[in-house]
Amino acid sequence: MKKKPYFALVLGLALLLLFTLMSAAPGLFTDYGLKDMFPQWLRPSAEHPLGTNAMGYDVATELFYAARETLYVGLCSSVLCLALGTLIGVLSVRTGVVGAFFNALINIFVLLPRLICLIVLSGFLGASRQNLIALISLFNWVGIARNVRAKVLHIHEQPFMEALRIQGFSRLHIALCHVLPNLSDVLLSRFLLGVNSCIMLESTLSFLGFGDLYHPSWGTMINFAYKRGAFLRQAYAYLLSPGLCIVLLSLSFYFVSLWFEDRQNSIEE
Amino acid sequence: MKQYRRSILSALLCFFVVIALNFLLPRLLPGDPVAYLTGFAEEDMSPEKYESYRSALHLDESQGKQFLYYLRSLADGTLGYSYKKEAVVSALIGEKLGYTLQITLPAVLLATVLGLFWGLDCAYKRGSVGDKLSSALNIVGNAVPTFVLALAFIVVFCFKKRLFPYTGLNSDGVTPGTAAYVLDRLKHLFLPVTTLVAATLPSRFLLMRNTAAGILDEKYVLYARERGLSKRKIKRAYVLPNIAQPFITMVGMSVSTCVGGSLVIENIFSIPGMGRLLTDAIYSLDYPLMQGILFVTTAMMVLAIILSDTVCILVDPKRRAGGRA
Amino acid sequence: MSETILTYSSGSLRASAAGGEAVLLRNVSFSLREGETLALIGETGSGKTMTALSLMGLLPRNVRMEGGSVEFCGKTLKSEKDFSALLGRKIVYIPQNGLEFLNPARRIRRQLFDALERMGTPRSEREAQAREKLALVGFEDVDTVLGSYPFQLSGGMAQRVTIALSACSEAKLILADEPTNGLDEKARGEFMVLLSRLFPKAARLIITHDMTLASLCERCMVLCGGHPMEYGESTAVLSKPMQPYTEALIAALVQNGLRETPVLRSEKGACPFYARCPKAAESCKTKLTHHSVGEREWWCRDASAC
Repeated sequence: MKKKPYFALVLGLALLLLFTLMSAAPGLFTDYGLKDMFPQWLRPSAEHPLGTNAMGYDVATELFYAARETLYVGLCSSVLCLALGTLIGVLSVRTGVVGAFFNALINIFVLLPRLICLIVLSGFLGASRQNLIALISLFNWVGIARNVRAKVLHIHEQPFMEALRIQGFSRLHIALCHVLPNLSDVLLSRFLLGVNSCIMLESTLSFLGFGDLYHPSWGTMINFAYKRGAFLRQAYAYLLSPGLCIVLLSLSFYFVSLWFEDRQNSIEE
Repeated sequence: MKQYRRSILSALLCFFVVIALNFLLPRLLPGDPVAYLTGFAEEDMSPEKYESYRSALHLDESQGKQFLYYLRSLADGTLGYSYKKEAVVSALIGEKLGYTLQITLPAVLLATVLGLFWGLDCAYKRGSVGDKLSSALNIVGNAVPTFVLALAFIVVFCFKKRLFPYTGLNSDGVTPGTAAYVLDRLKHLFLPVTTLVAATLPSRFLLMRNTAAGILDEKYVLYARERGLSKRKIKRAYVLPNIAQPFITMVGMSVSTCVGGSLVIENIFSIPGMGRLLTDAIYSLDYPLMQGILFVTTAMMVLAIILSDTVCILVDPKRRAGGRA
Repeated sequence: MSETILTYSSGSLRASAAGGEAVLLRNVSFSLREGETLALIGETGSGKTMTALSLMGLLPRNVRMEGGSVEFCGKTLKSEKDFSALLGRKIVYIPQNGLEFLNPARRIRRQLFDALERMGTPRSEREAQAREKLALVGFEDVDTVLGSYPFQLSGGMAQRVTIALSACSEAKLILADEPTNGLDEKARGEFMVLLSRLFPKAARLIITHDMTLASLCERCMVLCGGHPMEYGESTAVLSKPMQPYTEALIAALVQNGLRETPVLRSEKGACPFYARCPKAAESCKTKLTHHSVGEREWWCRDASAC
């Protein structure tokens, strides 16, 4: 019904392309290597558009290389979220104990304080990239599950489902060949939004120091900047440029998701 | 009515899940439960110390008994004992909780109320320039992580402009109990609270605006206009009462978001609240303290949800009409 | 000589949507005098509701009226202020379905008070007046109804409440939108009697797809696809229709055997009924001619034998 947001889509895709390129081939954007040493805390200049950091590395180079880490964790965890959320969402619709259990699971996870749980668990389990991905997916699947549940309930009400059941197709067959394809539009738009919240969580956790220090993402960069005195040195570019990248990446996924939404997108918590 | 009862049930279940998680985690993870529960590794202790810890933690007794001891520690208010800090966990948290609330409560209030009125206003002016700009602004704002916002604010207001302090709750040299102290405190709280509000406001605005727009499209609003009722009357008597329940539910959920956000804020602004306590606990591997904070945070959230759902039930016309669930 | 209350000419109602522009209503004009009733007949999507909305100045944001005008008691209504001064006082709307159209969070008493406040009734008299209006529409247990929320009422009760709400006015023009949906024949007749009792001198525009209700009105206009098809005195139009569309509507009635009008051709013509008309000619694809004999009007093809 509404006009298709072409402009947003183009903008979003362009940004995504930029960031993907950055992740895949950071060398294209910068001549410097990641560990090339320069004088520390240089101000932004023609040779170093964002200055240099506490160790003397070029900030812009670090920025480009960190894109890969941010995207990697963000995408992996959101793929897991999608799988987990879809599975639990579909299972929660089943009648009887199974459905009640998974439905209760959804309702409980909605209420858990996400960030606190993530922090406590990463305190227990230690910070590494795998742990981060696993933990984020463990706490971010709820939005997808709820949408999947609503859509599946809607699909079940359609007359063709009744016909399939009467014809004797197995439950699994119905689920895989008939329900799942109808979910695809919901899944796609929720996936894109899910990437957003995964990126947010990853950045926040990295900033607080729970990210993988050997694979610095943008959040980790800001952590380094903050901890090593970027404020006092007035190295604002170092401090804020990764933040800007996070915002742009988020917006790009959001713009692309606008193209795929089929109805009013209610903003979730 | 049923959905609220279910929601309260879920809140309580969630609470129990966290309690169970707190209990099971140190015992299920690879590694020594003693290490998890005290924070000290086995190698660092003498055998006698180790044994004394084991018996103090009741680890030689059955799992069921241990769970009962654990529940008792929750019930009697101690929430466990932090061996690292050598204090009862609840006392440690109690000192700092107040400071966290000084940031969280105003932020929840401001963000939700602002979100409501701004969202309502834009819903009335749907499609206008003001609405489009507001929505665009909030969509971008929604994409900015809390900590980035905080850092940006500090750069602008503390370093470039030197308007506000950026650490702590009070400056040195101000005596407590005076008006100057209160003013000073407010000055220190201003930026943290504003940042938290700015971080959570966008999603509140968008939710309220879309809900209100949905209400304005409802047939009963059209009928009210067809009856020639004044805009003010429609706003007050036809829109507001119908947005009350979604609003109250949103407030309940906002507590959770703001608690999470205040964690980040406390870290950046060096506010000695619960969030800072948590990060300290993690760096020093003080697991009992971590668990205690998780427990308290979940309790706060569950309380907020139960409270907001109860208010919803009280406000629901279906209930006020007389008993019909 | 009774006063002309309403002179309406729709012009073109254009709606802009995602795909482009669509014309929702075209060339509909009529006038109503005191005490007259006009039935606006048509299927869903024929433009009936748009007519009512344009009469009240409450068209949706993406719809605009081009070249049309609404004249009420001699005054042309243009701005929002013009309309809103009259809505609820002189121009009164009775909605289709009480339950959907009443505020679910407000008791009936308060909603009646809202209407009375609009009329300027002083606070002290509002309770008494509200009771009177409810009694007028046939409620016996007025107390219970006053204290109820809409969800506690049945569909029929809610409908009567909307009529009571409409009675809180000095209506000169009544717009009733599908007022007898779901009511049986006896109730339909009772409704028309109630309307004429409550608003003896008002002009009444009844929007309906129900031909039997139309037969209770003095005159009727048949709409199809946003275009008028036929107009005239109800008894004449309904017994001797000049337009094939009107014929088809009458044939589809239960008492006439529920005869169907299948789709006969796939092309679209100037006449909205072209795809299903059994008497269509080639010229119907391009032209729709206006015929009139005295007060009778119809739109069809050139040859008068239609």
